[in-house]
This record gives sequence, structure tokens and C-alpha cells, in this order.
Amino acid sequence: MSTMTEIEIIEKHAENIRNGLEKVKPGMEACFTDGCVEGDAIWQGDLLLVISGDIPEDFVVNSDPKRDIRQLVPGNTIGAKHCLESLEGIQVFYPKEWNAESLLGPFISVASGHTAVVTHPVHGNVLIPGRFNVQTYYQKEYDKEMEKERRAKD
Amino acid sequence: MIDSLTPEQISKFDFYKNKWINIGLSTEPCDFEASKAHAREAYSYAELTCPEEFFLADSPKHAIDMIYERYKPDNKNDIVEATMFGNQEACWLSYYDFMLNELNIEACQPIMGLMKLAETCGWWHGYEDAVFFQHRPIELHLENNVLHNDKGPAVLYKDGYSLYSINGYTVTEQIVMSPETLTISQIEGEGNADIQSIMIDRYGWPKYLKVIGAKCIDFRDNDVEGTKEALYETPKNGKRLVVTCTTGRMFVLGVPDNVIKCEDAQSWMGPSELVNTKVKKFNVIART
Repeated sequence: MSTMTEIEIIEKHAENIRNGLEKVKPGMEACFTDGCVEGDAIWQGDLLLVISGDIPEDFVVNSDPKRDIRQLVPGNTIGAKHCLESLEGIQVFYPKEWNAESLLGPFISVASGHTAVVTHPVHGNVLIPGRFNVQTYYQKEYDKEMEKERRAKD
Repeated sequence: MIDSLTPEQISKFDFYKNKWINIGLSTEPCDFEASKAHAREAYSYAELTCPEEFFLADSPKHAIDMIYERYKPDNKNDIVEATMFGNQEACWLSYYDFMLNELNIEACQPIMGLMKLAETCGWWHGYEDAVFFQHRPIELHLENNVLHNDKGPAVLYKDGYSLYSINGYTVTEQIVMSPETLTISQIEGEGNADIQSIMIDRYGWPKYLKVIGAKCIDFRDNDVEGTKEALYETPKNGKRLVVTCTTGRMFVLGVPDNVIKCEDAQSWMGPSELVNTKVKKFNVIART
């Protein structure tokens, strides 16, 4: 298969998704089910939500009154707007050092009888049923890592 | 000697921070009359005689041209190096404003003129016989606190003088406004790796991979996530995973050189180890 062909297959697939011709649809919801176990994960764009155990010991409740704790990714870009639709029945805990450089995001604990809905302006919602704890992680970006290395060398 | 701050003084931090961020990012025109008065104050604090001739330029370039025309220095860079940054001195003036007004440190008084000028004009140049003020930009675009605009200039002055910037990197107008006209020799001739990466992003990674004849080393249908993925090796820009997204877009993402399969590339992008779980690895069940 030539180079052109593989890229063309991918370009065509993306076009088909946009036109609703594929199994996956833009904005399609994804949810953790009762059968999920620790380690099961859903990507919402570049945010990974992973079913986890108890709250990590060194995580803390929010202490910054200006922080919108519904937003799970720091920043003011559209891409950063991974947000909890509501905080009812939901607790959010943070790594002690949490900033734009972190790869570890907030920890979400959902009480029984509630469902956490993580929304995003472009990606479909992710539903987390009650009784689950979810740890969030941010996608590693190789180019940014290289950029940091280059800046450190300068 | 002050060795601690009161809670009340600490509570004023936000006021001074916001005040000076607003000054630094102001796009208001220069208040020429107020600036003249403030310049007189600044000269007076410096124990210098303030000149009587004042000029107002539309942009840094306009100011430099005016000054060059008047003084004809051997080197235009001398003009640039003598620039006072007016409102864009906000980052350090904010500290002195706090110390002067909240801690009553009178030693800060001599920079009052500079503080006032920061509130009324953009960059400026003070000479023995004339002062040249500049208007502030009429547009200033930031994203994540750095200059960024992928649809036009990040900084624009009223005479059209502009600066293009992507993610805080100063780039050419061509990279922002007509990236499709970039050539492979322009891209590969760029010495700054960060700017080169921006150039390829703007040019389009799929097109770039096709044009340079990048080699596909793995391809898969990712049935769990509903995506298709191809891993490419490029001669100068490492390995790239080309992947569809459930939103109908496609992305090209850099991955380390030791990655040889699409599956490994996807794993690399997630956490290398999970926190507080009985299992070591994550298992993707869906993607939105």
C-alpha cells in the first residue's frame, strides 16, 4: 500500500464520520457501565477518564475560590472545556500541584444514585454512573515535551 | 524595614495585579495631552529638563522612522534600544505601585512619572530635545496568556503595522494568512524547531507527509475507538501518528522514535502508570 493510499483512507474515513456514514458519529455519548472495572477508560478528546480506586491520599479539595471546579482541564481554550455538567452528588479532588503542565488531572467521586456527565463543546458527553471513582489524565504531547526540552537547553 | 505583610495588604494583591494587567493589555489610543504632563513629571524626577517638542506616532515602526528622520543615527537599532515601553512596562511597575501606595515606601516616588505614562501611552522615546509617544495597538490577541491569533495579526496598530504570532511564537504573515503557499524548502530551512512545527501544522501534516514521501510503518482499524490510524516515519520530524477522531477531524501527533506500532503510539499518549488502582494499565473502552 502506498503512502498516498493510507492517508487517503484516513481522510476518507474522517469525511465519512462527518457525513454520518460511519458507526461512530460526531458528538456521540460514551458511558461507563455497571460492568466496568478499575483501569477501564474513555478518551474524551485529549482527556482520559479512568475508573479508579479510592481517592489518592495526597489529593486535596479545591482551595482556590476563583477556580471553576466543574472544568477539569486548566486553560481558557475551547479544547480545555471538559466540564462537569453538575456537581450534585459529585466530589472533585485535585493533585497538590495542579497546573497547565500536569499530566494528572482532578479525581471525580460520584455518589450512588447520581450520574456525572462530563461535557465538551466538540466531543460527546461521557457519563459516569454513581458509585464509581474516576481519575482523569491528560494526553501526553510529544511535540510539547520536545519543545520543553529545547527551551531547557536554551 | 518591612519583613512581613498584613492580611489587608496581601488582600490588595489582586487589585494591583488586575489593574496592571489591564494597563499592559490596553488597546486605548494614546492620551497625548496627559502623556505630555506625565513626561514632564518623569523628566523632573530624573532631574532632567523636559523638552517642549512632543510627537505622536501610530506604531513602533512609525516612531522609529520619525526619530531616524530627525536624528539620522548611524544605526537604527540604537533607536530601538532606547525605547521605553510605556504601558508594556506594567509587569515591573505593578510591584512599585503596590510598594508606594500600600507600604508607603517613598523611595518608589521617582518612578511615578513612568507609572503615569504607562496609563496613558504605548511605547515612548525621551530625548534631550523631543519626546516621541506611540499609540498602543488597536488589537491584541492572546490565548493561554501568550500572543496568539491564527486568523490575523496578534498585534495590530492603527497604521497597519502588525505582528503575527502563534502560541507565543512570532511568525511571518505567510505562515498565518497563507500557509498553503509555504514550500518544503521554506519549512525545512526554518532553523527554529518550534516555528518549523507551527509551519507544518499550518501547512497541513497530511499534505506534508504526502509531499515529502513519508514512509507508513503501521496501519490499523481501531474498532474499540472507531478510528483508523497510520504511523509514519519522516526524515527530519520523527514519527507521526495520523488518526481520525470521532468528531470527523483528523490529527497528526508526534510520538517517540521507539514507537513502532499504532497501538504503542496510543498507549504512549496515556499515563505510563495509573495512580491508586489495582491494575497497572488502562484499558480503553470508548472514545468520544
